[in-house]
Amino acid sequence: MNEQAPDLPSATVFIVDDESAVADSIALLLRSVGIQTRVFSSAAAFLEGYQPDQPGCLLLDVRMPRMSGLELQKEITSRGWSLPIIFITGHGDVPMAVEAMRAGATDFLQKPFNDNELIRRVQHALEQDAHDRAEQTQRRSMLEQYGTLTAREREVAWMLHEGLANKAIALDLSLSERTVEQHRAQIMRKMQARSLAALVQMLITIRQTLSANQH
Amino acid sequence: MVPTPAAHDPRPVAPDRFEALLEAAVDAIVLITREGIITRFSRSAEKLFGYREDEVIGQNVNMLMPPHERAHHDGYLRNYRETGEKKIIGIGREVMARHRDGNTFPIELAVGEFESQDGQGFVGILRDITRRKAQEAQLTQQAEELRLVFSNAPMAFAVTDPEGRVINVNAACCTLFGGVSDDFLQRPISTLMHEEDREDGARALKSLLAVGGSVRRPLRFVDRTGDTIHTQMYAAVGRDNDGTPRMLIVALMDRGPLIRATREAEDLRNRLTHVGRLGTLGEMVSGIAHELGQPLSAIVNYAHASRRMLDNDSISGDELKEVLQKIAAQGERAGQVIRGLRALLRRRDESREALDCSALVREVIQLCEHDIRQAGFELMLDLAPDLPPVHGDAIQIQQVVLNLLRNALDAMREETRDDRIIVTTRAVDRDVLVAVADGGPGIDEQQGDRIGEPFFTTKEEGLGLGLSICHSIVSAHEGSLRFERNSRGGTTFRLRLPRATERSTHE
Ligand SMILES: Nc1ncnc2c1ncn2[C@@H]1O[C@H](COP(=O)(O)OP(=O)(O)O)[C@@H](O)[C@H]1O
Ligand SMILES: [Mg+2]
Repeated sequence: MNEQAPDLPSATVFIVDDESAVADSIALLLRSVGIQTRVFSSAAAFLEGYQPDQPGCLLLDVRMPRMSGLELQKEITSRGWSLPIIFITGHGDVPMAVEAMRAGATDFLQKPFNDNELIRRVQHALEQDAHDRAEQTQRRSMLEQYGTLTAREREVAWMLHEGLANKAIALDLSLSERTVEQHRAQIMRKMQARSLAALVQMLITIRQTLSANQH
Repeated sequence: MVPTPAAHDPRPVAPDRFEALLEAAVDAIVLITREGIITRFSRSAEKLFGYREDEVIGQNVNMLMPPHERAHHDGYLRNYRETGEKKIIGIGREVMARHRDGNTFPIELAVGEFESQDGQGFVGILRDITRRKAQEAQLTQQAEELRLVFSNAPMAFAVTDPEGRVINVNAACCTLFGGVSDDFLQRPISTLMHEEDREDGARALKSLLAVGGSVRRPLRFVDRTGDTIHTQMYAAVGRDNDGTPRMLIVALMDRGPLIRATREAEDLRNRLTHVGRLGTLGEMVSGIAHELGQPLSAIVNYAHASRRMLDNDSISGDELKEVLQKIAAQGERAGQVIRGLRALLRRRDESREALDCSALVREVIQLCEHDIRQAGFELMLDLAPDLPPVHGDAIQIQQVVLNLLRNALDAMREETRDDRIIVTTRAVDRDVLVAVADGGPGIDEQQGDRIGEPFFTTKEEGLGLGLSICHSIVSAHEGSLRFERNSRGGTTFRLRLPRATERSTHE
């Protein structure tokens, strides 16, 4: 897995709860195990203050006046932000929790919860977020690298992806085998691929991403 | 038998006008001498009295009178002859006459004096007024009946002249206002009205006179002692045949009893609504649980956080102090929620009164009877009719009973050993006992001790507050609440409340 760039902000648990004491005490609990937190007292305050590139996860109370947890979840999805959400539900909120999970929530915690449980779930969500973000970063850099390939290099790359040997490619494109070899070396360098297998893997991801973006 | 004159009786045609008159007149005509001897007896007189003319001619006219009048008649004639004083002549009067068959009947008699070549005499013109008399009697009777209806009507009536001055009131009216009819007579009716309603009432009556129809409206009057009388006033105009207003008829219905009854009903409804509010204890308690849950979970989180920080030495004394303060604040907040709950259970005007537990139970039953039946269980009541009163707050006691009933129902839903819930009230020693016996699974030995502890519950949706609230209410009433296994395998909760003492009921 890629190391996070040092200038990226570190993971933060964003706590959104209208109950300030509950939010504050959860924050303290998380800080006691070294997790950075930020507390928002309403859904609106969170939407205002959150930057989508900030990694971490969201601890969200389902029941809040004005915009409820579920509504905030919808808003986050529609803005295309990816942030794992852990819902905190109270007595008798099970149906709401189910709905939240259906709408893509990562997890939910039913009150009263114990501290280990909370910490464990939060750490899990943070890992997931880190993983998602790493993958995303990787994908993005792959695309950037792919963008530096010339038209001919791309042609060669996709033929490699199809499993053609240098000789076959040279024949197909009426190039010398040596030229094909030079292209291939260039592709491997630009894409930072250590092996042909790694390159093929990258190309699969790139194709998926490109076709997903076309939708 | 004397034959009665027949219409075809041959009789010579009257020779002159007078004769013709005698024959044709509808009224009976009798001519007598100054001494009272009958000289002529007209055909209609024959019909009226049942004598033929030839039978009466020459007889004293007093034969046509009832026996007790006869003697006087000769005297009247003598008196007139001697003094010339006219007692009847030209005046006419109603007297009694006597038929041949002995029956007497009323007639109207007009008497005139005449002189002819035959000498002086009197002419009597007689008309049978039996029918008219009967009609008059009937009218009199009707009037009397009307008077009786008016004076004995169970509703207050006042009649005024068109100016609104009272001319008649009935007994109910006197009773309503507390006076005798003389107190009312000639008083403008508006002066009896309540100050604030006077203008309104007077205007209504005035427009009634002008426009007609009838008036019907609530209106306050004032009785003799100055107390307000709430009435429904009905008024109508009494008019002549030609439509001229003669009187105002005002009927007053006393709304006092109705208002009192409404107030009582309202009161009961308020109480029931209140009980109803408590009846949804589940909902209320879930709200409270949320309220309590917040500070409690904050406390727990703070405590865990500080323990962890202490474990890895990452908290300073000052920081710890701060967290402890936060914990204390949240604890206090939880306490406030509990106090709020207590206040909620207390009615605003917490009342201590003498209460009949059987009646309280009966009211509460209405709130859960349906649920019990719905669940397929039977509710049996054995409520003592003459319980000594207990002293307390009706709503609170009802709430206890309601909780017991709800728990009984919950228990039987879980497991039914017998499908009857039996509620008993009884006087026991110095206490009144209310027992709720269910046919549920009974209470587990081990859990027995914890029953009634706040938040102890074995139900998925339960909050475990019901019995602890019950206990605090019962102890405030110096009573006791215990439970035991009953013969049907279920649980019986026994609520005992001390009887009201003389002193406590009169506080
Ligand atoms: N009639 C009963 N039969 C069996 N168990 C009972 C009965 N009444 C009360 N209990 C037990 O006592 C517990 C506490 O009751 P309560 O204080 O009313 O709270 P809740 O009804 O919310 O559980 C119940 O959960 C139940 O286990
Ligand atoms: Mg209960």
